[in-house]
Amino acid sequence: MSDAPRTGLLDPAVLARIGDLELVARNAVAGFLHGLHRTPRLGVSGDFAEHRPYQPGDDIRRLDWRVYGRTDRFYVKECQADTNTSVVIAVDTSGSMGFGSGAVTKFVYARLLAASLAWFSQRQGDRIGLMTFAGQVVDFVPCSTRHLRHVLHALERARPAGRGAPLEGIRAVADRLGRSGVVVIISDWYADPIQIRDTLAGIRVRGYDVIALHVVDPAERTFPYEEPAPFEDLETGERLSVVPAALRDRYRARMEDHLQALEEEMTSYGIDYSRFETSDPLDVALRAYLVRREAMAQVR
Amino acid sequence: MPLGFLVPAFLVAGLAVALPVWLHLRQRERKVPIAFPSLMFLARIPHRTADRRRLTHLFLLALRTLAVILLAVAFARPFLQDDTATAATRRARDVVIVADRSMSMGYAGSWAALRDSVRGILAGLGSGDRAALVLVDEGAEVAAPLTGELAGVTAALAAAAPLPSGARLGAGIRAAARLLVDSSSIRGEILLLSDFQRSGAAGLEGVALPPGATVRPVIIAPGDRSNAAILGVETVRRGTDAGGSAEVTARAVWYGGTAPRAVRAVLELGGREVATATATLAPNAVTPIRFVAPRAPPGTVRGVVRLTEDALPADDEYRFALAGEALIRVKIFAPADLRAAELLFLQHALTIGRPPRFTVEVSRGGPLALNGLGRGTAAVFLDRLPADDAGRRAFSGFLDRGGGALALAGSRLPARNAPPVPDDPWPASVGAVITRTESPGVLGGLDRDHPALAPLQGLEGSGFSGARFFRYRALLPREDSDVLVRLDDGRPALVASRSQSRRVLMLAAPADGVWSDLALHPFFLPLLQRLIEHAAGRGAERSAREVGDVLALEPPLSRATPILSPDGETIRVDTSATLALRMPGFYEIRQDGGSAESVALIAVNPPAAESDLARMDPREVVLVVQADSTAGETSSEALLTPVDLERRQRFWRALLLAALVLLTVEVIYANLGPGRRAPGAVAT
Repeated sequence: MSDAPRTGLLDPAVLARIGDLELVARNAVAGFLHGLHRTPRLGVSGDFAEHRPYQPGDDIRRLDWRVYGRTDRFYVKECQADTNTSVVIAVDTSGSMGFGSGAVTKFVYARLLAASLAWFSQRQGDRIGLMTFAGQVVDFVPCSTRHLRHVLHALERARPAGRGAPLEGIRAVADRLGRSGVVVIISDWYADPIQIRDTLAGIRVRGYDVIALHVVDPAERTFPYEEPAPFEDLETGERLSVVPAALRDRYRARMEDHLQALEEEMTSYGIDYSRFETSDPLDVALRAYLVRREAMAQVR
Repeated sequence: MPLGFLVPAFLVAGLAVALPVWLHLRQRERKVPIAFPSLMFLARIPHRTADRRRLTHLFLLALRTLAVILLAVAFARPFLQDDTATAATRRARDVVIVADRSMSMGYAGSWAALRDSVRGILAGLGSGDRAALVLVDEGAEVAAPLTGELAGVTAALAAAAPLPSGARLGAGIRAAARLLVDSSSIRGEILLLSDFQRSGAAGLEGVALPPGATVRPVIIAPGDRSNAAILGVETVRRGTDAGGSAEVTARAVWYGGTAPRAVRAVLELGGREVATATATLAPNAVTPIRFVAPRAPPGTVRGVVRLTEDALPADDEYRFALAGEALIRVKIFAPADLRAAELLFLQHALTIGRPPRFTVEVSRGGPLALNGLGRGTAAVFLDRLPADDAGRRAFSGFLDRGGGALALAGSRLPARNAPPVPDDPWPASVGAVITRTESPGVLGGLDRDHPALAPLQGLEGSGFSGARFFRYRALLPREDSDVLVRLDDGRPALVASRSQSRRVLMLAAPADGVWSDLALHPFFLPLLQRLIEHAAGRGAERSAREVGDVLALEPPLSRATPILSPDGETIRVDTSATLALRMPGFYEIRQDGGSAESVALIAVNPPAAESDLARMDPREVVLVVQADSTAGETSSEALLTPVDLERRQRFWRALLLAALVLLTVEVIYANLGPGRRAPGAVAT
């Protein structure tokens, strides 16, 4: 993969200003792919489709050496895409996702990310579905190769609101999952890491590959506030008078502990965990997803 | 030098340092809550409310506190007191502050500087000292007598303002000296605060100081001030009275300038703007600005020429009265046996003109028909004088009503050997006939200052002395008469009565072309017309006067004539027939009974001398007063120039600048440093 993707086209602040989510997703994926040196057969599988002449840029690992031995020419073995994978994208729409200290909120970033992943998966022939949840499932689009527009429309309709413990929401998502596939859960993960791990492990044992994407606002980590003020919980409405200068260091320490615990607990159970800040370009998230998909293909 | 304060009350504002300390201690909580995704971690962190009592951001606190202190001290106007002055204050003294409030002190910044200087002087007084305030313009006014309550002096100063009048510094010093004499002060000091215009030096002679008193000049304004002003206007009406045009030439001057200055001038007639002009004023020179008003309102109208406003606006506006061009009625009384040739030149000289300015009626013999005639009418006696009592009474009544007369002595008048008696209206008696066929007499000794001839400046250059007089009558003038023109043998050729209320002239020869060739010379026409105008009471009026002028009311204006002053007040001159012009603007003199018809319009402007801001050396004032003081003492060393005053007071500027720098640093630091606020949640 390229070390210098075209992040300008994938800047979430830029993408958030485009109203058409489908256009955003298409451009985001196209921009991401354009930054790759090779043209991968993204639908990697073991099913042979045909041979074609080698072209510069093709992965030499995929040269068919037997054919070369017979014909003295380079041919690349084409495989059929794996269209049997179901990809369910679950997006947390609880009130806390509406927070944003920069150009985009966590929810906007999550929506862009979900749309891009949906487009990306559709491009590979995956069946895609969507669930939005906040304590319980808010919206549900079943998996299908033709449901991309439904997914995008559901994402456009979604708004961050209400109170929702992520564990309850994830459990509700798990109840709706069908046969095995890939579950991509995008959330801010405000819950106990061990409980999150256990919940996700329950999904994983049902044959799902679980990808946990953690969206974090920079202000959540740095806590840059100075002025004493009441802080209001976006989900519960609870208020707490805080002198930020007095609490900042302890808050940061607790936040870092939480993030580290999330990563350790999930990774230890084979759950793919990736964390993004809302200022990160989308290609970081897409690359993480691609790596995970390739790893899954190799496992098969 | 010890430090003093001009406005020490502002030091109380230093208590405001408590404000930033209080704010830092209070750390007031915002009312609008900050949206945050989850209080999960915040709620778990124990903290004490006592944290709010701790001072935070000590650097910001120090910046803000220091800025407040510097601002308070700067507004208190600190200054360095003179050591000598401080030492002197150890003994009680009486200080009389003489403040110049003439028009020139209205120059931008001058009056404020004077007030600052007075406040500085009062702040430098010690306990037991007394102060007084004398305001001086054309006269002196004791605004605050000697008192230990300096607040009274300050209040009197606050109520004072520059006036549109000149300055007579001598009057102020006299008034101050009188205060010191009355107070029997042992140590008296007169502080003379002025811009020291040259025109203010008049009247300094003879000022005496009481023993032990000193005079200290304090220069208020810098000497390099420049000022544009209008010194006067020349007006000419053209055409008929109802629909004619007017030509106005304003004389503008640019005092103290170093380079030409472009100005825009506006002419108003009757309250309406009728013409504009632009001109480039040469430095320190008079520049004419010419206006042509296509239609001038009839009658006498108010005129104003206004220049682009400069630092001294009081003299950028010049008011004048544009006189109406009414016809002058001329009645020529001639003997019954007068030949037509004797009247020819006289009558033609008065009927020439387009349109004619005179209506001429000729009366040969018979009684004097002067009933009902007065101002605006001239009676010309051609070789004839009122002979009988009825004629003399009619003539006397005519003069009382404002009429005037010109007599041309010929051969028919009887000769007399003595001047006329005091009651006689004529300024001279007609004596013997002088015949000079061999060496004709010529004219000379023109009295150019007389109002009858003042408009004819330069008449000598137009062949005035070329007229030859072959025969003329010896005129025997009365002592109180003025000889306006003499012949080369010293005999009077033209005599005028000195009385302002009676305008009677007598010429030693007729204009018949036989006794003299006067009528054949070019200057005869303007001379004769001017003499007739003078007799009729026209043309000699000044278009404008200055504040401070005293106007003698002439018939038919009487003591009871109501006068409307520029501020709308009605003035009645009861005890004397004079009017003191005290303010700029237009005085309107109305007929008895207060009818709306105005009979005279007097335009009054500030003194032209006040526009010249050239400064004299204040030491001259000290020297003059010193020379005239027998036992007094003056101090020429202790001159306080604006530079000195500024040097002693300039701390406040540095303090103000430092406070601004501190506040700027505070703003930058507060925005870039720990004071930066993080944004809250963004709504989706």
